Amino acid sequence: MKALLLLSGLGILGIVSEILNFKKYIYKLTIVGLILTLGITFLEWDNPAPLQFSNMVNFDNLAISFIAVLVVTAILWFLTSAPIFDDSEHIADKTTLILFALVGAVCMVSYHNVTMLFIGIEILSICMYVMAGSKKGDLASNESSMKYFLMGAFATGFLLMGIAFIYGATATFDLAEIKMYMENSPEHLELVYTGITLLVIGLSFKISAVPFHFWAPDVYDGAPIQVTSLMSTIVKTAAIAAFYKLFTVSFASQSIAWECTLSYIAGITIILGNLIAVFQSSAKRMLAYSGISHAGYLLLAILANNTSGGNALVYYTLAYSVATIAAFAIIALVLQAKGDTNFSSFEGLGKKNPLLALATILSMLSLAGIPPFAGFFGKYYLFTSYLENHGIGLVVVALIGSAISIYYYFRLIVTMFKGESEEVIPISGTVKLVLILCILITVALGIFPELLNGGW
Amino acid sequence: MKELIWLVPLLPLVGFLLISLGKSYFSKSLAGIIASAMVFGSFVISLGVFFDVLNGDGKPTTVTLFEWIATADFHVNIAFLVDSLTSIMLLIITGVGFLIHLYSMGYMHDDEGYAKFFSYLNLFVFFMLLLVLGDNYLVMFAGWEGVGLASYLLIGFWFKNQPYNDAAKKAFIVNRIGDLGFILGIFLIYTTFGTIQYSGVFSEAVNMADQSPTIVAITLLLFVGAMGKSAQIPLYTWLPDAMAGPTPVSALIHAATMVTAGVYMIARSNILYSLAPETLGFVAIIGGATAVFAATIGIFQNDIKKVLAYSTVSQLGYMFLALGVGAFTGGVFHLITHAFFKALLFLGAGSVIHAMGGEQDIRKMGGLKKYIPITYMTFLLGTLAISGIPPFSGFFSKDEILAHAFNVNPIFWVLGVLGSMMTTFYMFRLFFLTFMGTFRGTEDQKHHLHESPKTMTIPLVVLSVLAVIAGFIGIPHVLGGNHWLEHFLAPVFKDSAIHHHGSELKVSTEYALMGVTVTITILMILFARNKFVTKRFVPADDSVKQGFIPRLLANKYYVDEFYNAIIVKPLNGLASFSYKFLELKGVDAIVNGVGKLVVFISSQARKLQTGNTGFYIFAMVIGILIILALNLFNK
Repeated sequence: MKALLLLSGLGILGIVSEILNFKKYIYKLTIVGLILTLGITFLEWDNPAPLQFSNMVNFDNLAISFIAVLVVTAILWFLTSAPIFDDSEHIADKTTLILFALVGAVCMVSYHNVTMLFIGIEILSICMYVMAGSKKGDLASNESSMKYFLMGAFATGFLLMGIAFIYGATATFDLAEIKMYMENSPEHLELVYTGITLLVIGLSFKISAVPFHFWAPDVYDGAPIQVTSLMSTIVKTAAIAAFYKLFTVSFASQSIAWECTLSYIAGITIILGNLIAVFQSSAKRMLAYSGISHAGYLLLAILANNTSGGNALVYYTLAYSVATIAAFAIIALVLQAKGDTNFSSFEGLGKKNPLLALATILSMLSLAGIPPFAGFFGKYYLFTSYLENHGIGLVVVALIGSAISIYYYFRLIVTMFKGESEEVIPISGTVKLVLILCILITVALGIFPELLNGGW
Repeated sequence: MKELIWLVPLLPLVGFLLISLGKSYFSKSLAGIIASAMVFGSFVISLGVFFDVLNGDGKPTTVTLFEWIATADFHVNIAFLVDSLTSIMLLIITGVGFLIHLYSMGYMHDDEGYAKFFSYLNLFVFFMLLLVLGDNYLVMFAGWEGVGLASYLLIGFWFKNQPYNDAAKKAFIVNRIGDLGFILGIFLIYTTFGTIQYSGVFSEAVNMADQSPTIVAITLLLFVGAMGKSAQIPLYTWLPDAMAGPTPVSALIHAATMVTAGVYMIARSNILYSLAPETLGFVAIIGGATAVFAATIGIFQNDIKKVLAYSTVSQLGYMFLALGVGAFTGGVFHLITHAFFKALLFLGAGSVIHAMGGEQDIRKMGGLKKYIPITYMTFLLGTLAISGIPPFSGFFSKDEILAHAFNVNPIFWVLGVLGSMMTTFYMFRLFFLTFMGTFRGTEDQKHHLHESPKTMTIPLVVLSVLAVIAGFIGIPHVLGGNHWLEHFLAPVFKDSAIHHHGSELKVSTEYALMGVTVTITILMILFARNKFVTKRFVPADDSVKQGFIPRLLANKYYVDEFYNAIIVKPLNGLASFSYKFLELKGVDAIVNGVGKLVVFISSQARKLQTGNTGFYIFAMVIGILIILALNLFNK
C-alpha cells in the first residue's frame, strides 16, 4: 500500500519539479525513489491486514510479488532509457507520465474491487497513449499513438460493458463478494456469462492476445523504442496479473464460461505470434510478435486456475521482463549507432561488442526457454501448473510454438557472429551495469529456480 | 599404507593435469621429471601396499572414496579393492611404468611433443591403475575405456603421419567391438546379481547352479572384451599396427600393461569362469590358437617392432591358454614375467632404432653387438627369457602353463610347445640378424651408431635383471621350490580352486615334459644360429617373388584384407547409403521441409497485418462474434 502512495507522490513531485524548476534532478530522484519503493514493498510482506481503503485494494503476498517485479523492471528500464530524457523540455512530463503509468500498474495488480481494476487500466493506458506519441516530430510515433488510442478505446468499451453485466447480476464490485455469488449457484447465469465473455475480450486486448493483437505490432514498431520496451514489460505484466486475479479469484467456480474460449485464444496466440515473428526482418518488430506469443504462454497460468499458476506467473513475468529489457536496451544501442533495427545491423556485434553479444545471447536463450536460464523454468512452471488439472493438448501446442520461436531467436544470435562491423558501439556505464545485472538475474534464476518459487 | 591407496592413481592424474595445463609455463625437461616423479611416488606407495598385503591375513580390503552414482537401486562407489592380485598389478604398472618414463626422457628427448607425450603417459598410468584398483566392474570399465583412449592418443602421437592416424583409429575401433561385449557382460551381471561390486557378485555366483547358461553368457561377453583389449583371435589385428606409436609406448601399453588387462579381468572374475567350464574351454582354444597363429606370422616379419608385436599377441595367447585350463596363477605368473622381458625387448628394440637413426628393418642391421654392447647384452637376456631357457623367468611361467595344459588336454600342450618352438626361432632370428654378422646398413648409419644415453640403458639393465630373476617367485615343487606366488595369490583364487581338483601330474611326467620343451628350444636356437650366423642367411628384399607360404605369412594370412572385404566395405556401403538416401533425402528433407513450411506460412500470415486500423477493428469484431457464438449459443 505504501508503494502505491510513494509512487503517486513521486509522480506529483514530477509535476511540481516542472513548476519549481528543479526538473534536471528529477531523473535521478525518480531512480532513488523507485529503489526506496522496492525496499518498502518488501517490508509489507506477510501483511496481516492486506485489505485497505475500504476493501478497494488487497496487498497480499501475490500482489506484493507483482509490485516487486514491476518496480524492479521500472528501475532497470529507467537506467537504460536515459536517451528519452535527454530532451530537456519534457523531462518532467515524461517522468510523471511513466510514474503514473506505474501507479496504474500497481492498482491493476492489487485491486480488490472491479472499479479499481478499471481505474488502474485507464490510468496506465492513457499514460501509454501519450508516451507512444512522445516523439512528436515522428510520423510513425504519432500513428502508433493514434492507433493505440482508437483500438484501446474500442476495447475499453467491452471491458466496461463486461463489468456492468457482472454488476447487474451480482450487485457488487467487490471481488470476494462476486466470488461468493458465483459459488452459490448464481441466478442470473445469462448476465454472468455475457459479462465474463466481454471481460475476456477486453482483457485479451490489453495483453494483445489473438485476435485482439492487431494493435501491438504497429504500436510497438512505431513508438520510440524505450516506450516499446515499457509496453512489452510493465504493461504486459500488469495486464496479465489483473487478468489472473479477476478470473482465478472471482470467476474460478464458473470456469466453464471462459475456459474453452481462453484455451483457443491461448493456443492461437502462441502459434500465430511465433509464426509471424519468423518472417520479420527487424529485431524490434520480431520482439513485438514474440511478445504476442508470450502473452499466449502466460494465459496458461490463468487456465491453470490454481495458486501455482500465480507463482509461475510471477516467475515468468520477472524472467521475461529482465530478458526483454536487456534485449530492447541492446536494440536501442544498435538503432542509435546504425540507424535501424534490421537484423543486418547486428552483424559483427559478436566480435566488436562482446558484452552486448553475451547479453543478447542470454536474453534470447532465456526467451526461447533454453535451460539452464530463467526463461526455461518460467515455461516449466507455467506448464506444470497448467498440467495439474488439465490434459496435455495445449502444452503440446505451446511446445510447438517454442520450437518455432527458436528459429527467430537464434537467427539474431547467429547474425551477431556473421559478417564484420567497423565500429564499436559505445555503451554508457549505467547500461553496462544494467546488462550485467540482467545477465546475472537470468543466470541466477535459472540455476536457483527455487529462489522465487518458494510459494506464498 | 593401505589408507594412502587413493594417492596411487591420484598422483599420475595430477601429473597429467599439471603437464597438460602448464606445459607452456615451465621448461620442457621439467615435464619429464614431473611425470616420472609422479609415477615413482605411486610406485613407492604401491610397494608399501604390497608389504601390507604380504604381512596381512589374506583378506581383501576395500577402500571407499565416495559414492559415484546413486539412483533408486543402482549404487556405484568409487572404491578400491586391495588384495594380493591388485598389489602385484600395482607393482608392475608403477614399477615398469616408472622405468619406461625414465627411458622416455632419453628416447623422446628431441621430440617437439615431449611434454604432451609425458602428459599422455601419466594419463595412461592413471587409467590403468583405476582399472586394476576398482572394486566393481564399472570402475574397471572406466579404467578400461580410459586406457583405450590413452592408447589411441599415443599410437597416433605423431599425428601428422596419416598411416599412424589410421593405426590409432583401427586400434580404437577394434577395441570398441570388444568393449561392447564387456559392457553387455556388465549389464547382464547387474540384471543377474543386482550389483556390480566384485564381492557381491562373486559371493552370489558361488550359490548359482553349476553350468548355468547365464554365467556362460556373462563370461563369454566378458571374454569378448578381453579379446579386444588383449588382442586375441579374431580381434588381434590392431596390435601390430599399434607399433606406429613411439617405442616406449609399445613397451608400456602394448606389451607390459594394457594388453594384459584382459588377463587381469578374467583372473579377477575367476570364480565366474570356474562356474562356466564351456567358456573356459573356449578361452583355452582361442588362447592356444592365437599363440600358434601369431607365432607363425612372427617368423616372416622383418620389422623389428612387428616381430615383437606378433610375439606379444602370441604370448598373450599363452596367458589365455593358462586361464582356459584353469591355471589362473600360471596366467598371472606369465603376465608378470612377460611384462619384464617384453618391456625389456621393446626398450632394447627402441635402443637399436635409436642407434640406427630410425631404421626398423632387421635386414639392414647386423653386427650391432660391438657398437651397442649394453643393449646387446640385455637384449640377449630378454631373448633367452622369452624362449624359456632355464633358469630365466620365461622358463618357469611357461613350464607351469604347459604342465597344466598337458593335464587338461595334451592337444593344448602340443599347441603350446609348437608356439614355444616358433617363438624361440623368430626371437633368435631377430637377435642374430640384428646383432651378429656384419653391418648391412648405409655408411651414414654406420658412422651414426652409438650406445644410448644413461636414462635409456639404466632401465634396460634393471629390466634385464628382473627378466632373469622374476621366475624365482614361482619355482615349482618338482624343482624343490615352494611356489611363493601360488600361496600369495591363493586367497584370490580359493573359490575356484574347488572346481579344479584334477589329478596331479606324476613327477616323472613333469620332468619329461620339461626335458622335451627345453630340448626343443635349444635345438631351435642351434637351427637359427646355423641358418643366420653360420650360413649368413638374410631374408630377401620385398621385391623378390617368394613361395606361397612365406608370402602368405609375410602378409599375415591376409586377415586385414579379409576383414576389409567382409566388414569394413559393407559397413562403408551401408553408411554411404544411409547418408545419401536416409539422411539427405529423408531426415534432411523432412527437417528442411518443416522449416520451409513455417517460413511460408509466416510470409502469408504476416499479410494480415495491413496497417489499416479499419481492417483491424473489422477483424476484431469478427473475432468477437466468433467468441460470443462459441460462448453463448453453446450453452
